[in-house]
Amino acid sequence: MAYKSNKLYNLYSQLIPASRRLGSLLLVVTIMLATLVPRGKATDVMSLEDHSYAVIYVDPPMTWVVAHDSAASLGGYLATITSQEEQDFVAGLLSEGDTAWLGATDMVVEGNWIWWTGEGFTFGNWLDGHPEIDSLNDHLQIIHADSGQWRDFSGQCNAFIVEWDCCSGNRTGNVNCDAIGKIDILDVTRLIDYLYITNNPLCCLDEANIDGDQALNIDLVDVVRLIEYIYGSHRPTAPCPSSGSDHPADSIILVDQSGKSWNVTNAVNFFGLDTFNFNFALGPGGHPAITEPEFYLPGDSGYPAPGETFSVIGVSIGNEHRAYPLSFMHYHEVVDDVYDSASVAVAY
Amino acid sequence: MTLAVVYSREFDGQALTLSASGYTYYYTFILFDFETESMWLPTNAGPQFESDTCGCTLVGITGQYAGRLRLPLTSTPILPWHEWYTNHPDSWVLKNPGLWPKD
Repeated sequence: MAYKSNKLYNLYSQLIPASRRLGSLLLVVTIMLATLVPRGKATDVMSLEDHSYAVIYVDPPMTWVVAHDSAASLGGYLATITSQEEQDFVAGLLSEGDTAWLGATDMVVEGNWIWWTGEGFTFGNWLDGHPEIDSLNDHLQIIHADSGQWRDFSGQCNAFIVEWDCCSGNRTGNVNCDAIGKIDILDVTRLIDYLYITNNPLCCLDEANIDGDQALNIDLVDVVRLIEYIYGSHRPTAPCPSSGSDHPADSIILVDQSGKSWNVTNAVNFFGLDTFNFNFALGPGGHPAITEPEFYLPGDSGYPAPGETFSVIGVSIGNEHRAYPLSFMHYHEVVDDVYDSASVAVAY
Repeated sequence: MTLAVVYSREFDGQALTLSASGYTYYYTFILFDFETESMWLPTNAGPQFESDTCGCTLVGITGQYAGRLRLPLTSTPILPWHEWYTNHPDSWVLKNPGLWPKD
């Protein structure tokens, strides 16, 4: 295979033996689909200018946060609506009776609605009486009736609208901005997920120089080209959504009692937090996490008697069960622990 | 938080070290991670119905992980040792870590 850049291919070759490469890759993709992608069905992908959209119907219904993560696992994000034209277009994707999640929330600061992508929240198409003030309804839904008007809602919903930036070089097929410059097998599977699940938006593939054989015949050649496309000449330059200001002069810095500086620019300017409500400022040593926990095992000297009544936080992960006495947690707040299947933080 | 919540701290192939930042926002402890010093704010949004749960989903509000969300793996009961032990006689028990973190 004659490629200019074989870095990724070599990485991939190391991960999976040549003879089983594509098969294994597809297996990985299948696993990814099973774990990351909601069970459900989708409308066709429709494009407006250089963005693509689809309605994903899910069963069981999901909360906004889960829909947010699911949209990311599809290579896109919960749709944002910033103009009447886009409003009309997205509303037109819905069928009678549909209600679907959009990508805005005021979950961080009540009343401060933000598009999670960082786009300005200026256009609105709210239903009368919405958004509700001081309610627990934190996330944005579009409803089929009444020209696709919006309401704020919490709880669960059986559809969400995913949007992809197509051909912009930002986020296309690249789920997480954090992955920039770090290509791994997860990225490969995400790319393939993207191609298969989005029904192959042609505008992207053309520009990425993908073979005309299109998504259903995608092969490693296409994968490498796609990755070169995304990480090469079209390397994303836009910051991650809400990743903060690049202008130090505009930075909002808090200095805590230990003398440590915290750049809270993004928390204030994007999420709407108020600097005056950052309280205590004890510094990271104020409530240090337990980062190297040690345990009594059954039978150890010092293991508590069965009848003891002190309070514990009981955690079960897989077949592992651990008790964290509450008296330690009041001070430390967090235990960073390692189980067989996961590294976890137990937070109190 | 009134319940204890368990989060996976694995992000992009590494396990972050989460700890209290020393700040609260109103009454909520803001967490941070040592590796990137991103701040993480627990919010009411949760994996199930949101109005009847603790602060659950972590939102990255500053730093490299601003904009990332992390759902809890699970929330966990707080109960007397003897009740926990009855159902989990093979449970490990955290030793007293002392007041100060280890070097």
